[in-house]
Amino acid sequence: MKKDIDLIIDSIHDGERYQYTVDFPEKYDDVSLAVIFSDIHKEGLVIKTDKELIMERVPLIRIKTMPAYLVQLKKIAQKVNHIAIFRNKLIPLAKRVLRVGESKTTYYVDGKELLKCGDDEFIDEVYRAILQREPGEIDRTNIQSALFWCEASKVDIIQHLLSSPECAALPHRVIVKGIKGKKIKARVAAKGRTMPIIGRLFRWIHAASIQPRLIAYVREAIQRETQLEEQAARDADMVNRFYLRYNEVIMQDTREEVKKRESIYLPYLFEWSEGYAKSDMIMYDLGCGTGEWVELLNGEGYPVAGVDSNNWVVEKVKTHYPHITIFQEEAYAFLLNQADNSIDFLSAFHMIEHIDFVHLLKFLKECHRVLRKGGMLVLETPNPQNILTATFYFNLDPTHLKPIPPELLAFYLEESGFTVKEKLMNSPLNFAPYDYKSNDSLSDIIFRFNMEQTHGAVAVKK
Amino acid sequence: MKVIIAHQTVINYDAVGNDIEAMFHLLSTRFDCWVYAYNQFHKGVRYISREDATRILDNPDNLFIYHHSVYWKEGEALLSGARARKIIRYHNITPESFFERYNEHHFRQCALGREQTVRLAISETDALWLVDSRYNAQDIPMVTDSRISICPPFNKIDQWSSERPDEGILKSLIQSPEINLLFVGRVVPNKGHKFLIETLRLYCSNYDSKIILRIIGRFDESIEKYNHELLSMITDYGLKNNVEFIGEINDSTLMSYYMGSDIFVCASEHEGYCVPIPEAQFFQLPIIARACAAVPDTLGGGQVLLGENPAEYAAAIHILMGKREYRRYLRKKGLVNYQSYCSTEHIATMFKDCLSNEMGINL
Repeated sequence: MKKDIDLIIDSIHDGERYQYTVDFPEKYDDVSLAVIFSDIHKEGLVIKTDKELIMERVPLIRIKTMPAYLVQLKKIAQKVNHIAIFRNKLIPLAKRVLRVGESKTTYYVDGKELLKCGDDEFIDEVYRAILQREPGEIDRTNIQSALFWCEASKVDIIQHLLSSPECAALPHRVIVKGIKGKKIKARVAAKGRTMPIIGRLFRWIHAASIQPRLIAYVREAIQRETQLEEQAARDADMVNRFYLRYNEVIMQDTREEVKKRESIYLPYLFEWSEGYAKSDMIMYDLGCGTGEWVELLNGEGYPVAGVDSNNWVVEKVKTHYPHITIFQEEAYAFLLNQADNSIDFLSAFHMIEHIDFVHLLKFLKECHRVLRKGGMLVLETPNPQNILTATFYFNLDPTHLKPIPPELLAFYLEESGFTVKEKLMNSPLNFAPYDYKSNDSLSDIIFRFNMEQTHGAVAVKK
Repeated sequence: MKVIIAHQTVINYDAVGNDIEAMFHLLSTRFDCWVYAYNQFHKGVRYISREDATRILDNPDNLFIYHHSVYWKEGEALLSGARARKIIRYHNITPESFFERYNEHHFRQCALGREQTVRLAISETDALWLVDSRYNAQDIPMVTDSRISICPPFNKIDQWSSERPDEGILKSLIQSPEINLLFVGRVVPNKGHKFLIETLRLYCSNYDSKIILRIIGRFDESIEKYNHELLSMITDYGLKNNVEFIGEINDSTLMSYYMGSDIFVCASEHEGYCVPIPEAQFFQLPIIARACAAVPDTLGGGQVLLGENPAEYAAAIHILMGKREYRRYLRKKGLVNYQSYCSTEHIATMFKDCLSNEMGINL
């Protein structure tokens, strides 16, 4: 009877599960739950529940010592060994006929049981049975690959191990029984593959036979990749949401306060852009957050657009500050998509301390590439010269990596092809107001608690 | 009237996520409805910020449906500060004792969650408790019966079962000579995996080793010790060829396993509802289940519910596989249970009736 998958699917949806066994007379009307429970209970009473009852594996190896008759023959051979004809002709002939080697024991491995094992289990068992050890990781990987892609069969693997020098060096013989037919088949197939026309046919058949595995493998890999991407997207979304909340709850400066702080850079912009039409400029603020700096510059007539990778922040800006142009993209990826010498101005406030050393160098290199000659780059970052900033406030942001001192920032910029026009200190902390005196040894220390919390650099492309 | 539905995490392919999604769509036909969640991974609902949610919940005419299945401090604060009418949708929290030996974090979170349940039951004196099962109501004895309503969680069985199953898997299952047992559930201590393995051992050693138990559900890597215990048990019993852990799969593949398996087994020690049971009933799998927690409620009548003796489960498998008419009886009864109690239509009716009778809200 043909099994029709569609019939099965339809029958389940129609409320009648398809029976693919032979039909028996319908006894439905005689059945009740009480009858079922009664049968189960009766059967349950006869089940053996001994803890010792576990699934016994048929032993793969039987060790056979030399049979008694062979022991006797060996004794006789020793006695007649001094007679030349026995030593040179008859004893070697007898050894060949009786298949007696130097070893005293022979390990017989049940090949049929071995071949029943799944691929992974087979690898373990074949090494234990033939080489008396566990397979190494490289052995395991190679055999798994060979079996998966049908480059070798299990019989080939068995033959390979039996003929290996390691097996030959063992103190006993190993014979794998029950696979003679399969060995012949494997030998014929190997021979066939090398023949001119039949060989091609064999190879086509082989290629066709592994198609489903190849497709399944690729499908699984794509699925795994998709799952990883989805997980990464979920993790990124979770982090982004957390960071939005972090900025709303922990960093509670108002927009006006932020704008006032960042306005110290405006005179440098005014001077730099003098004589140029502001409306023609291409300007971006990378890692713009909720767009205070963008809004400030827009107010001065500069057509700055913001770029931020945090989808929650971008959503907030688009909802609450629709007059701000903002793109959702990671800063480095954004720069990679820009042409050489295509941008007039870039800024990044409190962004570079989130990037590791290597990526920061690459980021600055990209900034240099995309800016036109004379284009301006403004960077600001927390100032580790302030003791409280370095030890406490910097660590308040879980996404900060390492503080960047002013000297190091200037060096980064110079090495990346920029001229540093100005280094600025910003936003004094004033933790412990103090009357500084010139002879006072404490003044310097107190100053380190009160000094500016951030520092920045205004640079232009050479 | 505006409605806010809240839960700590809203995610696809999750019983609570499906329940929230269905409620959201049902309520949105008549009211403005939003979901507030800390982790917003489900794309099928409309979210709202904390500030806006708080503003809406300040209005006594509005409705707040708080889903409670994990410890959520922020949620409790939101609930206590809300002046809107409240429904606490209780999905149960696994007793912490299941995780005591395996993971301190899970242990603590479960303990905090169950303490929170008691606190909410005591403090929210006007809230209606909408519980998944009669069993769940046992966790809130301090809440009077008049403030408790039972309604199963919404499921999406109708939707995902209309997809095409994976034909390759389905064919291999129906053509295999082995008995195919199925269990669907995460690999966590309260799901009774050790009991299932013991049952399998007894079946194999008393009857036949041509049987495979497939467990569909992801491992939790944070309870490595439990995972190791399970795998060691399987190896020690010589059952490596008889147990398959399938992991997380898509709907199409899951359908194939439901359709191609012979018996669904459930030995969970704790369940607040157990969504895989109505799924198995929908796909007309005979079920052998442990009479524990909410499983009897969910399973319904005319089904095989057994006690604590794994030998009986092994016997049950043997009996059911030997008698087609028994399987047919259980399948039909299971399908009737699904259609009368677990279908989306029925649950929607129960939900609407609850809103109408208890809260005076008509949908």
